[in-house]
Amino acid sequence: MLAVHRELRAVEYRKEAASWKMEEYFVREEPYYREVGNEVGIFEAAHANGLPVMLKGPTGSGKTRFVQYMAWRLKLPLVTVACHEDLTSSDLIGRYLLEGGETRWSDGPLTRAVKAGGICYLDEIVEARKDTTVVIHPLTDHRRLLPVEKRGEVIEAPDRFILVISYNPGYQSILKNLKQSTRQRFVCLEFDYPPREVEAEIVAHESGVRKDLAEELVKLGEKVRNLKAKGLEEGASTRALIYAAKLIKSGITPRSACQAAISNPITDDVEMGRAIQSVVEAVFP
Amino acid sequence: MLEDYKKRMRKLTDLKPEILGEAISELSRFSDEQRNALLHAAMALANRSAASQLLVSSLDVLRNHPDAFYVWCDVGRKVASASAVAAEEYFRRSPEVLNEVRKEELESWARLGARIAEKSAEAAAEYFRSSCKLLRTLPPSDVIRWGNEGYGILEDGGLASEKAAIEYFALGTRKSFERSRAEPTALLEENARVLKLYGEAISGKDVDIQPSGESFGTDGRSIYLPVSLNAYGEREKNFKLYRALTARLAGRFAYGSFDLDLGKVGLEARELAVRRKLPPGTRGTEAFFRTYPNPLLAKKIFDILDDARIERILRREYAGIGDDMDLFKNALVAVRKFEVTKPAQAILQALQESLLFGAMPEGIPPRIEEEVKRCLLACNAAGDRVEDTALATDRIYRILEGIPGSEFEFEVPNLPNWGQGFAGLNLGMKGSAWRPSREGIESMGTARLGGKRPTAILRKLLMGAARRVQTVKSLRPGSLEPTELRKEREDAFRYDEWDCDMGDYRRRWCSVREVKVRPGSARFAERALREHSALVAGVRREFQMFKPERLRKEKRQSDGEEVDIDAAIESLLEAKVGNPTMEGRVYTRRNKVQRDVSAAFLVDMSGSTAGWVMDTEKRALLIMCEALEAIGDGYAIYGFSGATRDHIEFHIIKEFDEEYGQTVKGRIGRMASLSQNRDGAAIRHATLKLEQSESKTKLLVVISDGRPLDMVPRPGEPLYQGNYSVQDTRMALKEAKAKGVRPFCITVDKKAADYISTMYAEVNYAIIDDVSKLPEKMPAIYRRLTT
Repeated sequence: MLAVHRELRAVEYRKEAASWKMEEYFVREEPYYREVGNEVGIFEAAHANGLPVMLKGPTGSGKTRFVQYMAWRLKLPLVTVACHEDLTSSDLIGRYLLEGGETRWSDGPLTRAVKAGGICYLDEIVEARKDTTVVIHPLTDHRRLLPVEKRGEVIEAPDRFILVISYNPGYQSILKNLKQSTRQRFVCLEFDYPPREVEAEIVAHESGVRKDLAEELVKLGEKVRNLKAKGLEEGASTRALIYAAKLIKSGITPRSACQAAISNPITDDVEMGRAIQSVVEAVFP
Repeated sequence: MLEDYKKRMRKLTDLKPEILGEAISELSRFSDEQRNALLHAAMALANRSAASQLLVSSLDVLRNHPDAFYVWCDVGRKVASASAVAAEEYFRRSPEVLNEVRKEELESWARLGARIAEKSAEAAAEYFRSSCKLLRTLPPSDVIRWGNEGYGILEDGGLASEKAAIEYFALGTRKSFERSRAEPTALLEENARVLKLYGEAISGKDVDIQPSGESFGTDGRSIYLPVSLNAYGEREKNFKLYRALTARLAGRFAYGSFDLDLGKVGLEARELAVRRKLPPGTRGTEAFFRTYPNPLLAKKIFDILDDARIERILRREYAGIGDDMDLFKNALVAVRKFEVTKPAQAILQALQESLLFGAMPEGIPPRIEEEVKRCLLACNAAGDRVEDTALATDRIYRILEGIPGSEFEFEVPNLPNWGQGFAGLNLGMKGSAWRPSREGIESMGTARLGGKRPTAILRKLLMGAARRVQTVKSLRPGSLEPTELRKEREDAFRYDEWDCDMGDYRRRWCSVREVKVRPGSARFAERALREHSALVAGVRREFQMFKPERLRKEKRQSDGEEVDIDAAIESLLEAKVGNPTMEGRVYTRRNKVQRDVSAAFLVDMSGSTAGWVMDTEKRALLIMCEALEAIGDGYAIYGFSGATRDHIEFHIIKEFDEEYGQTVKGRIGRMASLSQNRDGAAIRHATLKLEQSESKTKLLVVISDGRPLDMVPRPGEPLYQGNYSVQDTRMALKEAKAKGVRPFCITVDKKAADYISTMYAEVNYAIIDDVSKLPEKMPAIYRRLTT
């Protein structure tokens, strides 16, 4: 453990903090993205035709990475909003603020993205309150309009603007399902865990571990995914596998790394955790 | 009547055993077989009061645990032959114990008692008395371990040790219990779910873990594991041993051991299929065995080779599994003695050991060694597919065919015992649940191969299940407390019945009597809820979200008790800017929202649901209860069964105004398959119950497993079956609808399609073809119905 510790401290810190205005954030370096189907082509076509895009798939399957990659590829600013249950339409569109007795209007992230003509990525859209899904409706059909009711304005979106939402059908209850009237406004790209070979390639690339170790991790991932719907809400994500690989790369033993990055985060169910750790022990000596 | 019977039995204790036997034979409610078993047990009792206790308890057992009846009698006799005093205590306590434990656990519990009784009758009596109490709070395996500990004290010998043992058992306390707890034994009960999940992860298939006395194996559906393992001095190691067994057995699911398809691969395999005259397209391993004159030999060879194949694949696929596999090997006790008179058996045994341990066993006669080498050559060529195993099996079969001693006895004709034995392993296992019984030790040297094996328990278990079906059939409904029920009761409800041939109702035709189910132990419920813990948590969470909060704080109202600060500020700013959109909606109001649903669940408890259909229904009900508690709807649970129109029993599991707690859980645990089902009358009665509720939505969920069916009481009356019963049921549902009740029917009958559309024409229904999905589906259906 001590040896590991020393090795970790020797790590060079490559990135320093940097800040941009929300609508001026560009992805500057090409993010690693391994295309599985023809999602890049479809996304580009959707963008060219002014169609909004919905990304559907389990957690850690590459939705966010894909959006980053597309932002880089299309050279568009990227505004990301993580939706939550208290998110109201004002939070998206904007509101008046009080400043020293004066009022000042402040654009919300959606309005900024529309004005800047970039990508607005609403992550986990179903988590937001119902009224938010409705305000995006005029923006998602042929009108491409954003009404700013409070100011009595309507903003016409530029061609460059594209709305992207993500949606994880797995753990959403019926209650939080997307309405047909909303979902049918989008071009939908399905994400799933990639095939064995591809996933191993991704794990190896992202973490820097050898291909054979990445393959073992992917095998573990597959076995754990067998337990989905048998008490696990979601299978082990590609992201979790990458985390485990990174820990292994830093000198943690595979068994401990998998416990920390896979068995522990995925469930609080003690027995389930034990079963997963048993699979870990079967795969890694 | 029951009291009367008991009184008579008590009197009988003064009589001679012959008379006792005659008296029992009078009792037509027992089948011949059951009478015999009873008689046998009674005869073994020199002690009259023990005999009377036997007869008193037999009623209880036969009524509540018909499937355990024979085991109960049988072990009772064993205890009796050791000590009558202990036997009396056994008979007194066992009906209660049966509420807590499985049949095979009862057997373990009683056999231990018999062993104790051989040393000390008094200690055994104390053991039965105390363990019965302990079982209420502790898992059976713990209690048995506690018993074993006490037995250990006895084994030291001498008067002092007997006194100490009696004291130990009499205490029956946590204190004496704690002493045994430190043991390193791993228990199946504690690990079953982990092992199930582990097996499912490895195989990618559904895995069902079942306890078995001391053997392990799989029949392609379930994995059978010993109830406890104690081969190593550390609990963790014993757990890993369980894990190794699970991986080996789940590996058979994963790598196709049950899906042999010779037509699919290579020329050689196709040739084999032709030579064995397998019809083209035949799949499955069992069909392959059947093509041999001695299928059991073929199966034995196959099992040995396939086990080796699975291990080979597992070791290659899973770099870390070797440790577990080695633990497994080290736990096996090699057989040192080879039966030279049966060379074929000796060859197989040596082959198995060579494959397992990687070396030829020592002390093996040279002639046999040569043959084993030939066999090993045949398997070394085998690849990873199950078809390769079949090819090697064929080669070895042909080697062994000509050698004397290959005529294995058929233990059960026609090979129904796929589940027997672990991959043909006939090796003993260190520290599995039970020390071998005396008979076991005697026969062990000779009978490891071919003869009776420790797996007999498993077979018994399977046969018991088959017999249970028969028992349920032979038990005539209501026959256990006959006259008491047969009498016209004043509190019976009378209902009309629709006669489709007459085109009219038969007035006051059916008599429905409410039966308050006595609460049993909540153990079934707790175990089931634990097993389904993830589902329960999910369903509860989901239902909770549907629950309208009593007083929901509505924001941005034009009127209300409090000011909505956020809205007020916003509206102030708007006013300043001069573009008011809020229109004074700056208050919060508490709104009363209420859900107004009452639901009655009506479960068919007819004989055809016996076994795991009923078991699954009970699980589904428990999960429903959890869900309904979360949402707060009023609900009741009823069961129905009975025989003839005069005796329809309407079992009350939970009334609307009853709390869901230990009592209700215990009642659900006690629900059992009884006799016939006259659906119409039961639906009418449930409708009446629902009508009394004042809820806006009244829901009746009927859960059945097929056609309504009842017997004829008197000549000339219509049979309650076929179209008649279908039409009456349909009418009853229609009546319910007319009374403002919304019926919904769930049926788990696969072949239901033909009549179901007629029977449920007026209402909504769902056919669930995979019963095991019921616990998941029921809450989903309910939610859909009420939202």
